[in-house]
Amino acid sequence: MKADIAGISRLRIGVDGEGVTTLVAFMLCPLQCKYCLNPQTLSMSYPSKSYTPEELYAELKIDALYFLATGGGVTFGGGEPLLRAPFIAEFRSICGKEWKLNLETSLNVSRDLLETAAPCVDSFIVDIKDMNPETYASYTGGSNSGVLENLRYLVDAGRAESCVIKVPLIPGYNSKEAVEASMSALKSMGFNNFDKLKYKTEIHGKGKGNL
Amino acid sequence: MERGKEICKALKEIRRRIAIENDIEFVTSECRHKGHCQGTCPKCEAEIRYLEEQLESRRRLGKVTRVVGLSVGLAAIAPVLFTACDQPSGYLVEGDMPAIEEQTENNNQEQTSQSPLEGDIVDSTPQN
Repeated sequence: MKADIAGISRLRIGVDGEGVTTLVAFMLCPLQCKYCLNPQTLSMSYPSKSYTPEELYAELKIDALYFLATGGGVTFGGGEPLLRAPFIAEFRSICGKEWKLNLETSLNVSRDLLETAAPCVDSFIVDIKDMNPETYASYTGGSNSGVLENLRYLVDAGRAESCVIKVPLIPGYNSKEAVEASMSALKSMGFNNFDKLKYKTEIHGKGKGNL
Repeated sequence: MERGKEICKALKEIRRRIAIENDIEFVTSECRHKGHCQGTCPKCEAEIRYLEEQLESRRRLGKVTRVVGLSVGLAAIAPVLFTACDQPSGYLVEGDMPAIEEQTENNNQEQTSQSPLEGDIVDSTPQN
């Protein structure tokens, strides 16, 4: 089993998970978000590198002491990490239980992928964009019906408290009122941990990618 | 203080705690590097490898070692890292995505043994 990885960023503190973390960015995403920060993950021409779970573990274990001492570990992002759910499950079996594994995801994947990864992951950072289907489709080019089903799955599985839901203000696409409406809908579903933020708009379309 | 230096400072404190907790002699010195800091460097990497070796040798002798959870309250070590970030959960941003093949090409640089690209350790916003 191999997965294409666009980048690995070590020794992150306080940005994507508890403790010291390493971010692993997978290639590919089902969405085409207008302000995507990492559009290179969508391009097969980007010089990614293929790893087996064993190879990735061998590379990341250089920071094992920091992970263990701080309650940190690995944050899988991308791209959409859930597209590589079997890889993540295999990685968990290799790294053991002590590393924290976080997923930064849109949840816009089929249920079986989420069911594969969820038992192996400690926490989810879910970017829901906007709960309004029309706004979501306008911004991402996709439907959020699967996202809503997957959010319900996480609640039913008792994982709501292990989720941080990103509820962004998306310039040109939603409003502060829409953000509040999304949060209200999510609270009614059972989610309580939110990250309100405003998307950056100046990055996409500069013509040089994100490098 | 720039973010990389803050990370370096936090990691050094973690190493110091591991050493104290496991009765490992650990001598470090203040970093005198003046330029951009990625949060680690060959000297820092050598210190953590030294600790790994010392811990392993103690395990081989049947001694109990303690690492797990020593610095869980990382915010207490490096509070600036947690207050300077206006977008709490981060992601790669422009200049942050390390091209993988370049990660190994620049290991001889003075200030990094990891991704050499500017902005590799930054706070930013995930936008899938």
